[in-house]
Amino acid sequence: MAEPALELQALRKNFGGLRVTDDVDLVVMPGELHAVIGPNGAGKTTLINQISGLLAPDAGRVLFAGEDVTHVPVHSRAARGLARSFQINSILPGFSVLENVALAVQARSGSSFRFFGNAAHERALNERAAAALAEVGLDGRAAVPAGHLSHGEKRALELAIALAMEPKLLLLDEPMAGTGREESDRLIALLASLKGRFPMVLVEHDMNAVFALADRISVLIYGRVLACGRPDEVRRDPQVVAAYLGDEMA
Amino acid sequence: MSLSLFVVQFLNGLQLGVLLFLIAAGLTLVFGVMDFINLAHGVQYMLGAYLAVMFYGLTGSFLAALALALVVALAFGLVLEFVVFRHLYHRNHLDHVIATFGIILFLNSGVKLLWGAAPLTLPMPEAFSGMLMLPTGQLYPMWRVVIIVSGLAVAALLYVLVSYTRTGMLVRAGATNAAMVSALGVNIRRLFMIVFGFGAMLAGFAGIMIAPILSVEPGMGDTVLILAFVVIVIGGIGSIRGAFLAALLIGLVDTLGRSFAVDILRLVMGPSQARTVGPAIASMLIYLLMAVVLYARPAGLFPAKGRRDAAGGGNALIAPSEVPPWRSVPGAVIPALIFLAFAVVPVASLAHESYILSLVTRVMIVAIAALALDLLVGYGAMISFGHAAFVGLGAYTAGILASHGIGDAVITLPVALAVSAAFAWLTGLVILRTRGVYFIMITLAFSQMVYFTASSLAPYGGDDGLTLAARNTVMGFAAFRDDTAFYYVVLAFLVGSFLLCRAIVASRFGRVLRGAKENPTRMETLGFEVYRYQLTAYAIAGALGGLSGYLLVNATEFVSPAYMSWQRSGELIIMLMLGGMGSLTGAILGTVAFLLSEEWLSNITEHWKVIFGPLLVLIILFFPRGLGGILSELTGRLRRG
Repeated sequence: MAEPALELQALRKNFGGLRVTDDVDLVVMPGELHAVIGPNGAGKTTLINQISGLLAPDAGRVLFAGEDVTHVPVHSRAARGLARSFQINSILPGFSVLENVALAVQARSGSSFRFFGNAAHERALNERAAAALAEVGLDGRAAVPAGHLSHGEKRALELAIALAMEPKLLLLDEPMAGTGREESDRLIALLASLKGRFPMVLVEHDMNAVFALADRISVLIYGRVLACGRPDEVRRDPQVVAAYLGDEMA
Repeated sequence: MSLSLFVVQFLNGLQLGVLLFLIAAGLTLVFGVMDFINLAHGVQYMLGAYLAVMFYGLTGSFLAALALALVVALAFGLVLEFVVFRHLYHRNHLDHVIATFGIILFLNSGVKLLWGAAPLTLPMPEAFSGMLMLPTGQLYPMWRVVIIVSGLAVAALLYVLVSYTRTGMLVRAGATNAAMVSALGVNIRRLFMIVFGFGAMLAGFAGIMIAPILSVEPGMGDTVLILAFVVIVIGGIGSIRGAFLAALLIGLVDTLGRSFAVDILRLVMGPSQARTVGPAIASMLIYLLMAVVLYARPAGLFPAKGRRDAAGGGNALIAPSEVPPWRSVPGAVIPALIFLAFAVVPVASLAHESYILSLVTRVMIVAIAALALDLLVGYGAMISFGHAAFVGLGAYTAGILASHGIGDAVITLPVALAVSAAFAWLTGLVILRTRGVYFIMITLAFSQMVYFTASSLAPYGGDDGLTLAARNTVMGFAAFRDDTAFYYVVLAFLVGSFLLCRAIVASRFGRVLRGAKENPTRMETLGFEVYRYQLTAYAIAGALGGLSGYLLVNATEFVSPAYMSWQRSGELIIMLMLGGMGSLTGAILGTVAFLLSEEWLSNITEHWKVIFGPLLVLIILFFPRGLGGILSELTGRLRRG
């Protein structure tokens, strides 16, 4: 069996007296799209933050590509290929759309301790940034300040930034949040086209998206993994139906 | 050191600590509850002292003077809050700094205008003017004991008020999460006003109590203000308990350090060396203490629980600045015009107008420092309130080398740059671990450390400064001697610095820096270790500040601690604000505007700061985007007809 892209071992996190991550074990295989679902407050974003390094777990380990990165800071996890998008837009609003992505390319190609030479004129950076923009359908908006994009476009830009990082694992924190029907359909198609290129962890409330995209689903409730399996297994799991899916999916 | 001396100095330290607590208590609450940086807190202390002197003159009774001065101090605080401060709470920290700096300028020269620059005295009340016999046998002034006792009483009173009253509960809640308190339906405006007025009164009280043993003079609030900042930063912003303990700690460390540093150093070095080094180390002690505390605990010893900035999250973010109008003109046109204008000044000013020549030389030299600061504040969101320290270090390095007979630019210039850069890098290691208000305060504190160190360097002139025998030579040639030649040397360095900064801003490095200004968390998740980039930028800005200082000492053939006073740092920030943050051209234009209007106003009246201070406040209130904002406002109006 191949080595997992990501492995969480008995991860635990408390906020005061509240246990938000409760002995979570999770394995993401190469090429797999692993969805994490659960009701509000189940600890999904907290989990993502521990994987990307913004939060330190109280106990347990995070293994990335077989290496223990539990105590590795955010920037060096990112440098190893752990990319993420944010639930709340986290772009650089004053930068152009192209520059937002070019910065991600720059992080991947050579030193950034260069004090001369106009970074905005580096063809290698711009070409790869433009390619990532084209993949998410933003190529027409490259010169616009990112702060001026529509909400859906910002979500697409988040994805383009993640793509430009050439991730070895992509963490997607509610990429569909706040988007309309049409936009979320576009995003689903886009994510579907990316499937297989690199493993992804998808946190999402939109069940259409989850069941259309996921290879496996983990259901998180009160910080615990209630169930984990293929979409059809999870959909039929009586515990999951009772606790979360309810009538919605049955 | 004898035990009896130690007891006396211990009491003196306690007295200083109590005094600092009275000032810091109001400051930490205003910070904590309103997230408002009030640099003008120190002048409220000064005002208390002046009011007491005035009312004593009118009534002839200390008690009456105390009561009246307290009432007026409170009223004045409330008026300030009502007229100026409440309009600034929702603004960013930089606006707070500049507006309250304007108020300091106004009040410091206002009292000079009213009561003269000469120090005044306030007689002690007769009953407490005697000496007290200590248990160890020495005599100790009774008034100092009164200060200690009344300070401790106020501390106890505050503790009861904050812990057990309804308003106190709101204050504590507000220090943790003001928005939530407001959302719960509390009249936060009234709460703010109460806290502010009370804080102003406490500072005034401190001023009144200390007046009998200190001379009452303009600027007396400035030193105390910085010490109070050190106190609240060490104690943890918003924490009364932290302020109390830190105030006593600072008071004792500072006083005992000054009394015993030489004696202690004599254990490890010769007496003459100890006498030289001792005072310098003593004056640095509290700042070193602060550095150590903040390195270990970036939010102070007792951070108010759950504060946003306590965990070190949230940068000192400046709202994305509006683009000043001179940015809309194609790239190099306006800077080229500016440099051309500089270049023709010596020709146009009829050769012998040395006044104009030396004025514009100074403008260009200061503009180099402003460019460097813009790199930090405008492009890196690092609000440094200690930039003048780099200028001073560069100047002192050249001055000290010259006094030892080393006066050739080939050696002195690189050394001056290296010293400033090294200082920036070393302090940056600590400074960049902090965020927000702490960042501003700690940059200020480090620059004060350098300031006081220079003041205590007796071999190099101490407070009076150091005179250069001659300007530096360049490989043996007296290339700087002629004023016009030196003028063009300075211009060349200015153009060079401008081009360097422009290249850096546009480079890969600059892009990371700019990105970190907008969203540091995003930059980390892209894989950039923001700290390293900011530290490098800090060192570069330090080196450029050092260049400015190096040129300044050569221009004036003189250097004194005044070069790195915190007012100088404040002025640099104001220049940037005038020109528009994040515009290198703006940094130069802002410097020109500031220094020329300073020159112009000070030719009209020596009390020009009485005009300039309120002007600053008005600009911040109505044109927070600086001259660029005023211009685009005007052109906008013209276009609309």
